[in-house]
Amino acid sequence: MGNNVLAYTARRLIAGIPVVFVVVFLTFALVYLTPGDAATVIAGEDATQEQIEAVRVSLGLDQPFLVQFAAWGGRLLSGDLGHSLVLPMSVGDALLARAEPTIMLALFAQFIAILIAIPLGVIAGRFSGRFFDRAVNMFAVAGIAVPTFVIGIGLIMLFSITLAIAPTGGYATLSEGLPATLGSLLLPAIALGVAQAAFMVRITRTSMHAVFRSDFVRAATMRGFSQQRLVFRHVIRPGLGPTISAIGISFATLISGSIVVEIVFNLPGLGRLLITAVQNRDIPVLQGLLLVITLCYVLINIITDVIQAIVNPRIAL
Amino acid sequence: MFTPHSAQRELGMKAVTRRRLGATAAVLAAALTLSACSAASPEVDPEVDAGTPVVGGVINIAVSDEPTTLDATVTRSDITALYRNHMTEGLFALDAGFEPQPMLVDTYEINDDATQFVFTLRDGVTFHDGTALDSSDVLASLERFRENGTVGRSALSDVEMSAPDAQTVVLEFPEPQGNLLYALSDLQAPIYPSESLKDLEPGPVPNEKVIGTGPYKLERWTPGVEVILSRFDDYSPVDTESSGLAGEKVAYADELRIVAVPNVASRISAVESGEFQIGMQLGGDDAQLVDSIPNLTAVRKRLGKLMLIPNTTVPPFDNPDIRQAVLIGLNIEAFGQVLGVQENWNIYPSILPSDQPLASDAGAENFNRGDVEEAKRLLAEAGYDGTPVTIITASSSATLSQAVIMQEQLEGMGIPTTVEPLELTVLQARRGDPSSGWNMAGGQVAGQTDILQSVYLPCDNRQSYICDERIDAALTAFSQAIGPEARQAAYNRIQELTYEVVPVFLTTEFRTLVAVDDSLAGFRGDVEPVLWNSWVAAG
Repeated sequence: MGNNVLAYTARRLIAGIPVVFVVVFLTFALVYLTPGDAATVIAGEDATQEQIEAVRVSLGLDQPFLVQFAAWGGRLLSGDLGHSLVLPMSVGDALLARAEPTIMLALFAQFIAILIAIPLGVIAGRFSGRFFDRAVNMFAVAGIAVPTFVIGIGLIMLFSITLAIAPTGGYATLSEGLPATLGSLLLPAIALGVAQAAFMVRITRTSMHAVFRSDFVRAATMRGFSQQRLVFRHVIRPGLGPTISAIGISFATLISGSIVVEIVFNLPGLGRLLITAVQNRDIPVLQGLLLVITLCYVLINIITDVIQAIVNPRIAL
Repeated sequence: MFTPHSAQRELGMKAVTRRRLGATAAVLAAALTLSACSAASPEVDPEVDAGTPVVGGVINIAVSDEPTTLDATVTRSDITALYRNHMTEGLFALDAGFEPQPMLVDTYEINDDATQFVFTLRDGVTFHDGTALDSSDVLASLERFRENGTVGRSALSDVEMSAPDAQTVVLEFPEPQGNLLYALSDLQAPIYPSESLKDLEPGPVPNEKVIGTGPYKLERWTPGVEVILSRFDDYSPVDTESSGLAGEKVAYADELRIVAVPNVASRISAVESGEFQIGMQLGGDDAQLVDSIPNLTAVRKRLGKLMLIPNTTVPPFDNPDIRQAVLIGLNIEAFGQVLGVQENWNIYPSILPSDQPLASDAGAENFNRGDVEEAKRLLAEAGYDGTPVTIITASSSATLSQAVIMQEQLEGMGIPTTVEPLELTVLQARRGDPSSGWNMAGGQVAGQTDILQSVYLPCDNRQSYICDERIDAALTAFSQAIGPEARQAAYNRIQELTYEVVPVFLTTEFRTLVAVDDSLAGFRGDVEPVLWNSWVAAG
């Protein structure tokens, strides 16, 4: 099995390279085609046309599209992600600095989402059609419909202002201790986690519902298995397949899509870096970000598939 | 009366250390108390009760964005201005009456016809890197001011600068200069060390070279997290009473911590919760929200102007008669009402906001006439042929709202109009290209103090693209006008021409808004929001 996993992972990684290339190429093309460039931003709004042109030339932004892309690709192959056009740091430093809040937030939010979604989904699947199932469904619809920033600001108003037991925003780095970090991420993680849970609980519920009605579960019930033994030993493993896929998608989305929460709670993460890089047309940072995010998606997909295979022996890698 | 700084000079001391701050604080408190007791005292704002200044602590400032650069010579952004005001100083600075007062200049002489200015620099002023200020730094910085920014290009276009010695700078002009000291107070005229300005790449001065003489210096910038400014212990203040951006600056707080909180609701919450002492870049309806929060005070000292700037290179607004017709048809009240509560906005026709001494209604007979029938008649007479109009604007609610009202009113005059809200970078790029398919661009200017700061007026501007030699002549005449009457007449002439040529459609004045927590004492924000002479109150 171990060899299989390694070989499988290697195959998938190689298959992922064209994906990464296409994404990065398309991003570069999109930014190139969008009006405005970093020279406009850097030279300032009072600059003359000549001054903007001078900045453009000094940054190499006057070069043809393919020349610029090839130059970036060449640097990448020698391990150099380049330097931000606007921020006073290299792209690598910018990504490293912003990765920690986003990853910690994604992990924490995912943990909360799983904590909510799986128990609710299992129970709703068990008692489908009944009151609990309907209540969970309402929660799911509400959680998907209510925008994350509304949940976020509501949490700030309740916990940060009225009750004054949580900060309104900001991030405590791991160097200040895990409890401080988790404390600063609690409200944003709840805001994101609830939204993700709403998405996941319906998938879990449907899948569990199907398993509960399958022949082998009915046979086990007739043979007198207790509910507990039934659920934990016989239902969860086969029912978890779609949920694991959902967790994979959800986690990847959290890495790249926590922009709104990062803005509302003022977290210095990759989401905000992405927005700023787009606004500033900071191409090196954007390329670096998209590279990392795409790699994340590829990796998370691989991990999800491997876990599926471990959990469900019917799947062959 | 005992003044600690003259005593310091006699004793040869120039550093304002903590012990001195304590003495200064006590004297300042006494002075403020005395002046508070006097009858008509425009200097002390009764809402901002002074109390005894507290030395130390951190003032936490919530702003809307990270700066793109710390170098104010390339941008008038209010984010960059915050750093400019605390870290650097100019030769002159505006007081609360918007008059220039010496800052890095000690004494100055102007010859009889105001063509020669001799500035003697103050002694013993040091930059944050320890080097002493001398005339070479001033020459290099003024050269940079001349190359960048509308005001510098205009004010110093014909200057000859020289430095006879290390403490003296001489500026000579072929024509009299009545506006020079105002121009040298400009936000875009900070004095940097000459070393910082050597061998620069095109673009802004790199952040590590933005070094000033101001009361706070850059401690560290962690992008995405915070900027920390710390007290500059070797700061040497001027020996005059603090007023606006001029006069004595005392850095009571050890540090200023500036954090970008982009979302407005989060920013107000952050100040409300006490995590920040002050929140900036607020506006409009936020004022009523801030007023309703018990521990916050809404400080609304300055005015800004909203406007729509026509593209005078393409039809239909390349025709001045069509622009005049539209002007006559505009009902400005409607532009104001869309901004919300009446307290937040104002209607006044002047180019400069109405809090400026020179603001007037000269030449503005056609402002806010709202005569749609006359407008239609004039449009027909001018040969308007139904060319549709595209208005580009930023997506921020204030400028977008003005664009929408303009669309409504243009449609009412029979001009088909669309509004395109754009991301800021795209807006700047398209506005910089007059053939990119736009006829009007939304804009706003906050806190303008000088008519020369109006980017859309001179020839070669890249906003209205107007080039009217009468306007240029009037701008030059304003630079040369000496004395209040002549300056007012020159300003009025510019405004009359503006209302004749119509390179801009001025709409509403709005109040800028800063939210201050009760824990911050001494804040005034008269000319710009600055945190010197402010402190975190104990308890």
